[in-house]
Amino acid sequence: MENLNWFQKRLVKNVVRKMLNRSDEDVEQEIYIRLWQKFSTYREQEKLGAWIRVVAENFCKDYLKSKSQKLLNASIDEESAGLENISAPDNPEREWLLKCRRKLILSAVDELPKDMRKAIVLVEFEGLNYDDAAKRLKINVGTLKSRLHNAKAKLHEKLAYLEL
Amino acid sequence: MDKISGLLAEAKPLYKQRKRERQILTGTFGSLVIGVWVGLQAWLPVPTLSEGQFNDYMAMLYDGDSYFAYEVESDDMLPLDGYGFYEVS
Repeated sequence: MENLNWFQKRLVKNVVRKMLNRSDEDVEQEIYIRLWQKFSTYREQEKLGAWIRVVAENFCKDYLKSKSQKLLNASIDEESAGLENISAPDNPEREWLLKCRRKLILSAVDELPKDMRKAIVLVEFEGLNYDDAAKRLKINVGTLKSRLHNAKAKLHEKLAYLEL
Repeated sequence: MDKISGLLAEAKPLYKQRKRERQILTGTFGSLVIGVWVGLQAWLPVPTLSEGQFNDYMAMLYDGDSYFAYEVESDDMLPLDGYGFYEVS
């Protein structure tokens, strides 16, 4: 793979900033390595920028998943594992990870179709029961449940990498 | 699906925070608009007539030729009754 040009590097940087909520040169370097390793999978028909974006996003998802797993393991058995105390409430890494995960979850909710988004917001975030939420949306309870089910299925597709 | 509910519960504090920020922003913007509007009402000069202009206007209205200019019945040369209305027979 040839060297990336300024725009492609900028693209990688933007993906990292969007997904990880911060600039991280180490992650960018690892993405470059992955791009180089995976370049054989790139087909000439597709746009190089789109391919780079997908690889970079997938790398960030893996990165977040491994970080989340590390956090979970550390909170289960941090003493015997001898890891840094990542689960401590004041740990900046933990704070960053939680913020990052929350932001990605809300982004996924924002990307849902409007009907599904309203249903999720009222029931899951505002804490309304089905009857009240259905009244608010002027639909019946069955429709609301159906929308919630579909919304959660879509979110599951998008956020599978965050589920532990 | 329970995992998704768990993830959504995880994001709930950020949702609440954003909602609060949005409300504060909307409130601030609304207050600003109202403040600017009230300020403009207070500071912009209200068009008023001076006493001289007012007197001139009243004089023009009551003493000038333009007042009651709609009394055209008499100009039509049609017969009028004692009250100035058309005489209908």
